[in-house]
Amino acid sequence: MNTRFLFPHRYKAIGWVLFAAGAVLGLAAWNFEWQPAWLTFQIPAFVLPHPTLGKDGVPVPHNFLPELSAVLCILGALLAACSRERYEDEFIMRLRLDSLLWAVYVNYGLLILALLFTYDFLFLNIMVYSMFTPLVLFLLRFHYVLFRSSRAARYAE
Amino acid sequence: MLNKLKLARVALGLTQEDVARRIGVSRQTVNAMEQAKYVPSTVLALKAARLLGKSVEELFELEADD
Repeated sequence: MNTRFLFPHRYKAIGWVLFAAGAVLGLAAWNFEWQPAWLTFQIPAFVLPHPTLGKDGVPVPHNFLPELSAVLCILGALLAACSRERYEDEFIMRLRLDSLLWAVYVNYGLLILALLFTYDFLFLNIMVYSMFTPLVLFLLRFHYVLFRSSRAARYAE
Repeated sequence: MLNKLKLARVALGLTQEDVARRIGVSRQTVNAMEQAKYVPSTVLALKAARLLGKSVEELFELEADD
């Protein structure tokens, strides 16, 4: 795995901050329907041909909190996942690759279960969360194996 | 793959941290190599062999199912 595709280590903390901010905002928007006025914009009807966005060619205000939170979550998780560890050597790279593959398998396994057993709005909710689950699963798995290997190193001598 | 990294390291009075620092990897990597949980690359194996004063064949050994 070529490290030229990894961000410098200092971006990891920035990624976690962005992800946390996006998650909090997203939960506020999704569960409490919070719509701050400063995120409400008018966009032209032709940009997004949707029944609620634009009526007879007249721009309709849309609250962009869900979009902002999703972008923050994705950018934050990408930075957290794709930033170098303090010591990025070949073993860490192997753990990274294994965790990525594991996350892909688990994500699509869960997706298949969701496709078969969930419908209507529950399915829609799950599809929304599935935008983030590959990265979240990777982060969980990668940091778990890192923790396990550093704990093993601490107790061995 | 079996290895004699730990024996060679201890014989020289080195800690895992010492070996890690000298061959440019993390201590977790050295520990994983010693536990046979990770097979190092050729470059890393050669670096470890040079540091420990052994040949690669003396440090690493193929198992029957390798």
